[in-house]
Amino acid sequence: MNSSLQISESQCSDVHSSSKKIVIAINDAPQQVPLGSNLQSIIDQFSLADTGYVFAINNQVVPRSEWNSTMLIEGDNISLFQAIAGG
Amino acid sequence: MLSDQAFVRYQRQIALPEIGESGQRDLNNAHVLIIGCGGLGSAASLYLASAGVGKLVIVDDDKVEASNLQRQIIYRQNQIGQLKTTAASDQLLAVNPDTRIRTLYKRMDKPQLELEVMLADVVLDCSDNMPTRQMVNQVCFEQNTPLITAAAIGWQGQFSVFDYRDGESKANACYRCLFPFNELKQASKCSDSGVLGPVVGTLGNYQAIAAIQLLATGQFIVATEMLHLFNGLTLEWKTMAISQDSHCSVCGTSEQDANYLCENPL
Repeated sequence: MNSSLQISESQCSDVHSSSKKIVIAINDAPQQVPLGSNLQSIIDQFSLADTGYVFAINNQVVPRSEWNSTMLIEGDNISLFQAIAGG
Repeated sequence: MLSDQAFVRYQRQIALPEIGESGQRDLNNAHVLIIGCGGLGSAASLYLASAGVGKLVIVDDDKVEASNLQRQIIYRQNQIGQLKTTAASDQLLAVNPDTRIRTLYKRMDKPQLELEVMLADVVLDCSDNMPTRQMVNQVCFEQNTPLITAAAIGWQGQFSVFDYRDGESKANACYRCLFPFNELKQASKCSDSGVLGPVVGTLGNYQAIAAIQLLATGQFIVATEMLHLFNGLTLEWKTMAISQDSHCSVCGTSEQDANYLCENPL
């Protein structure tokens, strides 16, 4: 269902050099991130808080424990939003 | 058998083919636990009492304040200062005196919550804080009780249904898989920042719809284990699938919680 999940770094490095950037969309805005970025590196790159965020790639929520292993590929459509608790 | 009086009262939903007389009887025999009676619980409880849900248990540890009235539409000006549980019960009985209502003016500990969940057919999480939400999820999961959860802040809303009943409909993800947080640092509570009344009301209404579906038809017709995001500015909904986190401390198969991994990266 979701080809962008669980792509290993070695699969990407065959076609791109490590300094290369890829373009992804975060909440519909185009963003450049280094090739080999994973979801955790987005949190770091944009200096977001450690807790409270949820990622979905192509409308599939990515579990927190898979952020480090979920490598981004060109054209990924990422939704990034905060959990809310108000009621 | 429905009484003639009940038939007249509920005729417009009995007329729905998915509900009918048998669905109405099931609603009249149903028991719903509502955790929290703020903006979500206001909307949800009014619709569930109106629909003829037989028994509502309402839990809240607050009193009615003037600043609640902008969005917590169950309360009235002259109820400021009353316990929310008492004020809500009075209003619900004014709408439908046939509803049996029990109230708990407190924040429950886990053993008491376990007892209340055991007695309920479905649980609506209408609370306003993450520790309560995590505890409600854990108990519902452990007791195979369906959970209908929602939250709202600003112009945004989030809504999900987790069907924890045994059998084919058994959930393959839980609330904690989606939100593995014991606390939220940022302002995420209505009491700390802005929220629009009809936005939180919309989410509470979604909870009522899902509950009526389950109670009257025996199943959720809405897709479960999905996150529905509401944007009150564009009035658009986005829907995302929730996957089980194998490291989830509630439903996961691995031993380590995702939180452990966050704090102690491999």
